[in-house]
Amino acid sequence: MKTSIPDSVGGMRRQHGAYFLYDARKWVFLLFIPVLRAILTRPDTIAETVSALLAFLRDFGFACLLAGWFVLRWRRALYRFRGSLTTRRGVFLTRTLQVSMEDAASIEVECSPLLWAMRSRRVHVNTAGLRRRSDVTLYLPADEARLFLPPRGAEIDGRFAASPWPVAAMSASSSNAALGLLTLAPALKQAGNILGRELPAEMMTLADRLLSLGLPPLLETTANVLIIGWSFAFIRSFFRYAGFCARRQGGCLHLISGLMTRRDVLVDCRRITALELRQTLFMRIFRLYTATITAAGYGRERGARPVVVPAARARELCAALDTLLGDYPLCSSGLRPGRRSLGRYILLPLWVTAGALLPFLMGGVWIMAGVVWLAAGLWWLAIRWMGFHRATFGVGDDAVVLRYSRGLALYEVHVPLEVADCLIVTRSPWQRRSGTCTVELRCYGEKRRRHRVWALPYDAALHLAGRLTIKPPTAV
Amino acid sequence: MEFRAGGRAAVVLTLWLLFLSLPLMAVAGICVALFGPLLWFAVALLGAVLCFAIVWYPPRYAAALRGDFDGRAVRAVKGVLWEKRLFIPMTALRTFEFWDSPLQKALGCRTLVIRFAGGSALLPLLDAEQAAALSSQLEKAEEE
Repeated sequence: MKTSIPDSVGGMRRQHGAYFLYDARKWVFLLFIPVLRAILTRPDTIAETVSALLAFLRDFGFACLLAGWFVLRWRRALYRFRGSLTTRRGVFLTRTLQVSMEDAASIEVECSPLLWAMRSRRVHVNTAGLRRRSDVTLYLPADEARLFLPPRGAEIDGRFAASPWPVAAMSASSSNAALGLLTLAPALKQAGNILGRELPAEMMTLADRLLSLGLPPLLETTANVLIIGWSFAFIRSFFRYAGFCARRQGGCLHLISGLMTRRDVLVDCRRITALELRQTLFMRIFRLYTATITAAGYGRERGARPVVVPAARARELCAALDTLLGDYPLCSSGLRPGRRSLGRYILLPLWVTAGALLPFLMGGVWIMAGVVWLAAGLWWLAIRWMGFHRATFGVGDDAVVLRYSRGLALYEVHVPLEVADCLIVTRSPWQRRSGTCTVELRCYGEKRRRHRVWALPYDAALHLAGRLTIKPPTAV
Repeated sequence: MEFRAGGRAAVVLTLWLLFLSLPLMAVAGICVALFGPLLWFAVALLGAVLCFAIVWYPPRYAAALRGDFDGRAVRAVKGVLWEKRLFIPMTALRTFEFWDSPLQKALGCRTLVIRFAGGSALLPLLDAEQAAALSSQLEKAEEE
C-alpha cells in the first residue's frame, strides 16, 4: 500500500503520550485508591490516624510504582518509518517488529473524543499475518497520523456517501442482542461495583416497568434483557457507521465512518478477498442490501462489519459498487438446487414453527409466548424459503459466486478465483440417494465464516468444482 | 500423481479407535457404578456401536481415501458415510506439513496437512512413499 509518510530522521521515536493512558486503562482506577481512602477514612484516635497515614503511604507507593511502570513502558514504545515501519516495545523482553507497507492490507486511523482532546490518533496497520489483532498499533500525534491517509485534495476516482436512514436500517438489521449483552453486562457490573451492587437489579426493574409485554414473569424478563441487548447493539452500531463515506483513490478504498469515534480505514483493493452482499428479511421488505468486503484487519472488532455500502437498493448498490470496486471480478450465473430439494431448506424451520402450537395448546399466559415463537419460526421459514430460491454456486472465468441463507439472512459472496482456497463437496448418505451434495468454499476471512450451499446437483457441482482447479497458477 | 491410504492405514485407524474406546468404556462403567444398573443398557449399546465402528469403519475409510495432484491442484476424496471431495488449487497453498506418530511410522503411514489462508485440510494416513513423492512434487510446484 502506498503512503506519503516521509522517512524518519535520526533514531527511533517515542509514541504519543496517549499510549500511556490506553496501556494503563485497565489499572488506572487503582491510582484513585489513595484518594478514596483519604476521603473515606475518618480517624478518631492517634493510632487510627497513624494507621491511616501508613495505609495512605503504602497505597500511594503502589500507585507511584504502577504509574512508573506504565511510564517506563511508554518510554520504551518506539517506532521508525524508513520504507517499512519498525516498532519496538517492552521493558524486560524487547519486541521489535518490522512491517513492510507493501504488505499492509489495511490501515485504520482512529480518533476517539479522548484522542481528539489529546491531539493524538491511534493507527492500526494490518497485514494478513495475525488473525485476531493488528500487526502494529501506534499512538501518534494527529499530524503524523494524517500521513498514513491520502493527502487532502488528492484525486478521488469515485465516492459513495450513505445518509443516516440506510445506516440505521443496516444497524437495526445486523444488531445482535447477544452481542449487545456481552458488551453491556461487564459495563453494568463495573458500574454496579462503583455505584452500588443494587444498580444492575434496579436497571432491570426499570426495564420491566418500561417494557411491559404481558408475558409470564420469566419470559418478560428474558424478553426485556434481549430488547435491552439489541438496543445497545443498535446504538453502538449506528454510532460506528454514522456519517459513512467511501472513496476510491487509486488502488485504495478510503472508508470514513463514526459519530463519536471517527475511523479512517484505507484498504488496498488488490487485497480484497471477498465481496459479500447481505440481506435480512427486514431489509428485503425495503429491497435493501448491505455490501461488505473481506480485507485483513477491516471489521475485525467484535460487532463490527467490514462495510462498503451500509444499505442501498439494487440500482444504487450497483452504481456504488461500480464506482468503488469497478475492477473487482464478479460471477453472475451458476448452478441451482432442484425443486425436490426444497425440503432440505424448509423442513427444520417448519418443525420449529409447528412447535409453536404447544404453548397455544397450554393456553393462558403461554399464548403470548406461542405468538413470539410462531413469529420467530415464520421469520426463519421465510428466510429459508427465499434462501432456496436464491441458492446458487457458480464458477466463472475470474470469480466464484455462492448465494445461500445462513441464520436469519441471505448472502451472496463473490470470491476471486486466485483466493478461492479450498472447495469441499460433501455427500451425506441420504444425499447420495437424491444425487445432491453440499458445496463449501473456504477463503481468507476475519471471522472464519464458511460459505455453504446445500442440495446442489452432484455431477454438475463436481464439474464446476473441477473448473476451479483448471486455471493455471497466477501470482496473488 | 495419485495417492492413496497406506496399506496398513486400517490397522492404525483400528488401534486409534481402540485407544479411544477404552477410556470411553471406562467412563461409562464408572457412570453405571455411580448412577445405578439402569445405565447398563446404554453402556451395552455404546459398546456394540464401538465394536461395530472398530471392525466395520477402518477398512472402508482406508479404501475410500484417495486423491491426485497434477501440479495445479490437490484433489482428494475421503470419508465413508459423509463423502468429502476436496479441491485445493496450488495458488492457495501456503504451507504443508507431514505428521507421523510412532504408530504411523511403524505401519508406513503419514498424515499430510495442507494449510491455506482460509484454514487447513487434513489428508490422514497416506502411504509413506506416496506421501514423500507428493511432498517433493508440491515443493517443485511451489518453486515453479
